[in-house]
Amino acid sequence: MGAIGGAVMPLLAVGGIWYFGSPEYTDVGYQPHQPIPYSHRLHAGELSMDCRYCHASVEVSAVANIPPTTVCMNCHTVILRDSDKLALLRESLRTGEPIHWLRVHKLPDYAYFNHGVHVRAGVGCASCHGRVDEMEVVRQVEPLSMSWCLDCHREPARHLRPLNQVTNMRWSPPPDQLEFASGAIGDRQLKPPTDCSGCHR
Amino acid sequence: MRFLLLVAALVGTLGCVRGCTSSRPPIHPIPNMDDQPRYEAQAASDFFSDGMTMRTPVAGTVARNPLPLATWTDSRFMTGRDAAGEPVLTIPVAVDDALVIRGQDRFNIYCLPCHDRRGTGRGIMFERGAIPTTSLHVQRIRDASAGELFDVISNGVGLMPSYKYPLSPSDRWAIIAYVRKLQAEHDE
Ligand code: HEC
Ligand code: HEC
Ligand code: HEC
Ligand code: HEC
Ligand code: HEC
Ligand code: HEC
Repeated sequence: MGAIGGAVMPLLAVGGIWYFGSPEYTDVGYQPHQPIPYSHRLHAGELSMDCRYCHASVEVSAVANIPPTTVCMNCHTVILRDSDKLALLRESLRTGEPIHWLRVHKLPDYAYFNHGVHVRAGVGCASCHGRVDEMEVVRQVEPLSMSWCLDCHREPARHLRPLNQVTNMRWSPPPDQLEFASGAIGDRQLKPPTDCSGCHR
Repeated sequence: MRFLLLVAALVGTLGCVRGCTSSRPPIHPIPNMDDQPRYEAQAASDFFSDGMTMRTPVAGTVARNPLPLATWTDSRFMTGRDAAGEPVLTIPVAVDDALVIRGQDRFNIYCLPCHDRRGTGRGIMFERGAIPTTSLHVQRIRDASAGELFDVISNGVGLMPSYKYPLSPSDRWAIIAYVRKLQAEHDE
């Protein structure tokens, strides 16, 4: 009994750490309660708004940017102007106090990530954030772990798109994807870093 | 047996299997240097009195760095108005395929939601809020000068919001070039 316990205990410990310690367990599935019941399924899905209408800096900057109140108010000054669900938005416009959205995706501070580089390389939002247009509330679907980053950096071909399809949530790879990708890697001169200093700078 | 109980207890306290949805912030058993004492973009700040990490530029600041130096002082390009303050009649940059394609790309992001893919004005505001949205094909808009359209995009008009911030002057001219193409192609 003792001997079996001695063998099983370390296995359980290792298995437990592997299972519960991985970002697959700790981070994937995080879906905070946001202060406003804003829905991507409605705005990005049903109303088919482009991601960049709100996440305007995603092509040029390291951060995608959460839209300021004024962007919502482009429409909501007139659409559903009396809705209770939007009371906080109107309050924010009046006082200038930003909405306290809760951050969903967050890398450790020692890892460097840049949206602009990936979007200009033709990597779609859906490769890293999943089908946001089907989410009522945004939820993390990828682990954002180092091995996950490296899987794609070593073999980006499956994820590369024509540059005007980056925000298209319904895009799926065509049959000649690999040919297209090898062309794109050459044309766009893509060199995803796999050395440590690429991401830990 | 005891170990199975332990596992059951672990799963019980930690909640659920991999990938299940939870509104509790992620817990990292080994925090490493995940959170360093630095400000993130758009984070809250307890240093600045308005509570924001990101500072508002001084009033009247114009972002110029992505634009070629020669355009900085070109009022026709930057404001759509000539030296006398009159709206310019034509687009003050060379209109080529690349400009029109850029314009189409930007139009489909920033104008399509309300004006529809073809510029008919039957977009979200009209369909969901019954807000009359001007069709870009009416004679008044066809006759409008490039400078007037530039002014509409930059400053908005009536219920149409301003798109000065997401669109640089060169993107605004690109959109106008694309609107002209739409007007020539569709007749409604
Ligand atoms: C109408 C504006 C709007 C549009 C369009 C929009 N978003 Fe968002 N997005 C937001 C707001 C507001 C938040 C912050 C609240 C939240 O997390 O739900 C957000 C949050 C997110 C987040 C989570 C950010 C974090 O905290 O980690 C992701 C990822 C995201 N959006 C991706 C997308 C993608 C992909 C698209 C295009 C399919 C898109 N968004 C379209 C407004 C928008
Ligand atoms: C392009 C126009 C547009 C923009 C920009 C926009 N919305 Fe909306 N929003 C709509 C429309 C249209 C509806 C649905 C109206 C209906 O139900 O017919 C809606 C519905 C909503 C609702 C549901 C309200 C209710 O009472 O059911 C919320 C909450 C909301 N929007 C939040 C936001 C937030 C937050 C932003 C900014 C990040 C935003 N919206 C930006 C057009 C817009
Ligand atoms: C290569 C993977 C990848 C792609 C492609 C990608 N993202 Fe992200 N996104 C991330 C990571 C990683 C984070 C967390 C960044 C951090 O913590 O520094 C993030 C964070 C965000 C955030 C919240 C923080 C911020 O930067 O404002 C938003 C919003 C967002 N992404 C939207 C988008 C949109 C919209 C697109 C498509 C145009 C997109 N992302 C494409 C990986 C990606
Ligand atoms: C789905 C594919 C994909 C994923 C996932 C991905 N990347 Fe990348 N990444 C790329 C490609 C493609 C490039 C090459 C861009 C270029 O050379 O222009 C790149 C380039 C980079 C660069 C170089 C940027 C520069 O300034 O040259 C960094 C840093 C980077 N990625 C970090 C990350 C991190 C951190 C993650 C994980 C959180 C990640 N990437 C996940 C595809 C991906
Ligand atoms: C493609 C980008 C990328 C490259 C290249 C990369 N890393 Fe990382 N690394 C990351 C990210 C992202 C994380 C954070 C992962 C997480 O949240 O679990 C990380 C985490 C780490 C950690 C902390 C792990 C932990 O959980 O304790 C170490 C140590 C590390 N990296 C070392 C290295 C070394 C050594 C190299 C070179 C051989 C390297 N990294 C190359 C992206 C990268
Ligand atoms: C949030 C919805 C919305 C968006 C997005 C939008 N518009 Fe408009 N637009 C309107 C409305 C509403 C009107 C009618 C304004 C009025 O007369 O009150 C209008 C009117 C116009 C007019 C006619 C102005 C006049 O002189 O009467 C033009 C030209 C125009 N828009 C161009 C554009 C362009 C170009 C874009 C993209 C950069 C754009 N709009 C984006 C809602 C929008």
